[in-house]
Amino acid sequence: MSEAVLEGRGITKRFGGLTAVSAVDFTLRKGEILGLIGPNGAGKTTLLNCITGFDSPDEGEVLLQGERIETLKPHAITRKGIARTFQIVQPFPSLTVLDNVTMGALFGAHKKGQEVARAREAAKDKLEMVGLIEKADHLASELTLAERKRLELAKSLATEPEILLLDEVNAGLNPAEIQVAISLIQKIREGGVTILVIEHLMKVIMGLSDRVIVLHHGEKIAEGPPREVTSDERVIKAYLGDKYAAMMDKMS
Amino acid sequence: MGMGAVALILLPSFSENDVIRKWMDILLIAILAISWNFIGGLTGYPSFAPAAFFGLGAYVTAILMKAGFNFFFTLVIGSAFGGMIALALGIPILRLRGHYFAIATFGVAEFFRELADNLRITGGGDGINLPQITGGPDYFTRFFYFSMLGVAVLAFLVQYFVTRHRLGYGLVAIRENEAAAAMTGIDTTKYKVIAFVLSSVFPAMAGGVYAYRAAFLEPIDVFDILFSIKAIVMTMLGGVGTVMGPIVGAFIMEYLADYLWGAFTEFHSAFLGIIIVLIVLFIPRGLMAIIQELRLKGWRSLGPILRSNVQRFKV
Repeated sequence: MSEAVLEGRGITKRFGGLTAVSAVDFTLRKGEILGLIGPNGAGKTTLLNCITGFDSPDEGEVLLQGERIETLKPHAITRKGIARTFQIVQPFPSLTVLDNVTMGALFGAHKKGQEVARAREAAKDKLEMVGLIEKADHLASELTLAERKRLELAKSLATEPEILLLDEVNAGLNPAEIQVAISLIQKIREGGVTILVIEHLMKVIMGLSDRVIVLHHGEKIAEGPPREVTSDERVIKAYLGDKYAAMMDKMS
Repeated sequence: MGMGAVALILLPSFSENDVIRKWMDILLIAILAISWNFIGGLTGYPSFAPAAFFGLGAYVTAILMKAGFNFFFTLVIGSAFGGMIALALGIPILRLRGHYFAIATFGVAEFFRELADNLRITGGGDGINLPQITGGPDYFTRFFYFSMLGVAVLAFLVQYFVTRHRLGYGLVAIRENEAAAAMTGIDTTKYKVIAFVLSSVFPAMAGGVYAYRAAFLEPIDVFDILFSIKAIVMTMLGGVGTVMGPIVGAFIMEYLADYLWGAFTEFHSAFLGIIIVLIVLFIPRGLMAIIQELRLKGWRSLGPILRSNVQRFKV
């Protein structure tokens, strides 16, 4: 089993009376794709926010290669090599596609003193990779949703992360576009990036992840290989609903 | 750009003093507009603070020159002092956004005016006298013109440099989407404070030149919020976030105001107001942006561009 690159220990985040994430432990191992699933409001995005510094956990710690990072600000975490995409894409709307990605290449991990010209070249490579190079001169606001999702991916890749956190990169895409996105994520992993992916679509999570963590009402209710987890009765009930659980029963 | 610089340097050798004075005013407004562009245009934080730092610099020069210090030395001290105050103020107020930030910067200018009104060292509401410059009108008109030109060139070059380097990219990213900017690794707090400091040092320096030229300062004169408003309007007219925008805007606005004043003495403010409304309505991103877009798409697209700008207001 390969080494842990990112670890969460007892992460808890409360918003007023609501405990969005409750004592969650997780381990992300080098080179793997870890799926994070759960129904709406399960606390997936909040957990991601706690890892990336957008929320600070009330309890628990986040360890990046053994170093605590839960008190760092988002930019500092990016510079340490953790990149993320947002569920609702966050482009720089009135800049060109190339400029959008250049930002990541200028300021990302280990980029102190990076020059603009060199960052633009690096950005072009990433656009090539996600298949947006022919749109380099378009404004980000002119892209379709699928293209904007790929832009979001290119932008975070340009920061040269060791760990990539993907928050529903496939939401709102059609089946053909999803296929493209899946092979892209696999390509990124082959490039040596460790990936944590939040996903709603079971088909995607089954095909992509090596392991899966299931959150429900902020708590981790299951963890393991996708096949195992999805046949866990608690998971089926929590995630897919009682009706689906009954249907599965009938089928088996 | 080079030609413009040469023209500005040669201007005094073939112009009457009143034309030189006119251009001195244009340069002053251009400096304020360029400065506003750092924080308001590039970074997207609408600041009313330029007037505050203009007044601050003016008073630093007045107080130090009265104490016998060299004029140019007071400019350095004034801008450094302005930068330091901006640093101290920027850290708390740059946590605010949008209207809240705008109101806070408005408060900064008012605060300094009250301070100058009530302190003994500033002469309070009675104002403060500076040592008079020696030499004839031909000499001192040119002296102040070149001083102002020097500050303007400095501000312009710094802006030019910033927009082409990491810093400028980072500022634009903050304007476009602050959360996403942080996520690409930009230390947004640090960058915003740098932009605020840059937007303060040049007005402070220009304030010093203004003070020596005026030879007498009153709080109400130099802490006039109109300086900030002019800077914003001119940047918007020329092109927010562009290098040439503030200068083009200042030039057009000053001459337009002059012309309107001459042609419609009684209603010139009203006409100026109407023109400002038209700018905001039809070319919100300024002349430079329109010119760029027309170059890209051809003159025929002028109509559609203006129409699409107006359509932003449809509910």
